[in-house]
Amino acid sequence: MQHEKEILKWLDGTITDSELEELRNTPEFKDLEPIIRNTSNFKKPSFNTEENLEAFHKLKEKQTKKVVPINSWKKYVAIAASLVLIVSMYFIFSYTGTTVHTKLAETTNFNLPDNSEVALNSDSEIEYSKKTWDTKRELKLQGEAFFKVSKGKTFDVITDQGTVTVVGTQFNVQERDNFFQVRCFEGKVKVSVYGTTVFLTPGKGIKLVDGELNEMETFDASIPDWLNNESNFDNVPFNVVVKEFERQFNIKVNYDKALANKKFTGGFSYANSADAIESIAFPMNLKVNIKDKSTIELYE
Amino acid sequence: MLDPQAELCKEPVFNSFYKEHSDSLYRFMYYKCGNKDKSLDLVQDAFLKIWNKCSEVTFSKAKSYLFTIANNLFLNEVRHDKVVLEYAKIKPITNVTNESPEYILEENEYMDKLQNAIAALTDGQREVFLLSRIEEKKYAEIATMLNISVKAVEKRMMGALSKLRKDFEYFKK
Repeated sequence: MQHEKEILKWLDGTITDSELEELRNTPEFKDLEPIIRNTSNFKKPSFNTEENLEAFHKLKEKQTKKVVPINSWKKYVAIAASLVLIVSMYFIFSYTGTTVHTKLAETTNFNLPDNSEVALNSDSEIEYSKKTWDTKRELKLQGEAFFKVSKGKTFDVITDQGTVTVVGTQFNVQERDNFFQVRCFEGKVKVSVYGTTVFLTPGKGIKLVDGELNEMETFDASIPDWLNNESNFDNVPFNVVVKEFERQFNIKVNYDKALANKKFTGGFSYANSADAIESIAFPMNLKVNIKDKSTIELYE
Repeated sequence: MLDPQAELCKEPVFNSFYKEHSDSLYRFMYYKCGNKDKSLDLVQDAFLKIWNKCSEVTFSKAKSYLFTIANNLFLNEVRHDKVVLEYAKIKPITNVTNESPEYILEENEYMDKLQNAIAALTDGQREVFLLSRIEEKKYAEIATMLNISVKAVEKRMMGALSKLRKDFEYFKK
């Protein structure tokens, strides 16, 4: 737009008479003048000062009233907090019913309240509540266990990596560090891991390494190998194999960690630790050095 | 909490402060958001904030602080309505024949169009334009209210004018 300076002066009331006289003849002024003139016909939005001041004081009072009862507000928080504490204590104590734990080189068998049989492998733990078993059939598992569930019974096996739901069946769950395996021996098993759900039928299993669904597997056995005092591995990271050996014999194995993720296929028997370590070392082209009763070294 | 020495913490002083500025602050808010209820809320909230900090605010700074607070409160609002202004019916001064229905309709039509054109300005342009035209504020005053430079006020003013001019280009025959 032309004559901007003069137009701005005109609207700010600082224009001189001679400047205004000049501006009047411009097309800009002719366009803008009716707009400006008519804009002044708009009313100022009305505001009732007295009424709103009164309303303001009420608001102010309300606010101070809200501020004062801080103590009682704190009291309610305290009551709520103690309620939460009491309720959670109740749940903690009612849940921590029974814990079955196995040490290294130790296995155990026991029955759940519904007479389902559980075989717990070495260095494993199962936690369940006898009290709430009827309403909340679930148990927590760390490690490896074989379940032989009575017909018509159902429960959930919860592990850090996934949940296994069962109805009258026999199955094995192995949850070790980065390794998770479920094998179904009879009936049907539902496995929920990392957002996916898989149904297993007899002879089928799943294996996860580092949380990734590695593969579906088929196998030919009526009970898990470990119940026959042996461990077999099919394409499993070497560190999982070594850890299993350590658990079964309570012997520490030192080896080059670069081999940890190499895949191992083979197995070992629990009968004799010297034979067992040999069957692990040989397929990997490693030599065995038995340092003492509790330490073995593998080297190339 | 309250410093009794502070001028603004005295209720009569605060009341007169409210009476002096609430009205113009309300209109300022209305030119921005176009909603009367919301404008009133913004006014009350801004004064409440000042009251709560009365001991920290020096009386001479209180007004600009008040407008800044209200402006920030407004900016925190996510949406706002179209600004609708009421206008006084234009009385033709001399000629009676001008009162023919057609003439009145035309005037109303013009005012409606003007109202819509103003509503369609950007928030920044509209507040400057209306503060200047309806509140009759000087650019310098507007600049302090909005916490911007006089140059920026002039720029917004020119932006508003050229937009309005363009809108009415086709209206004149």
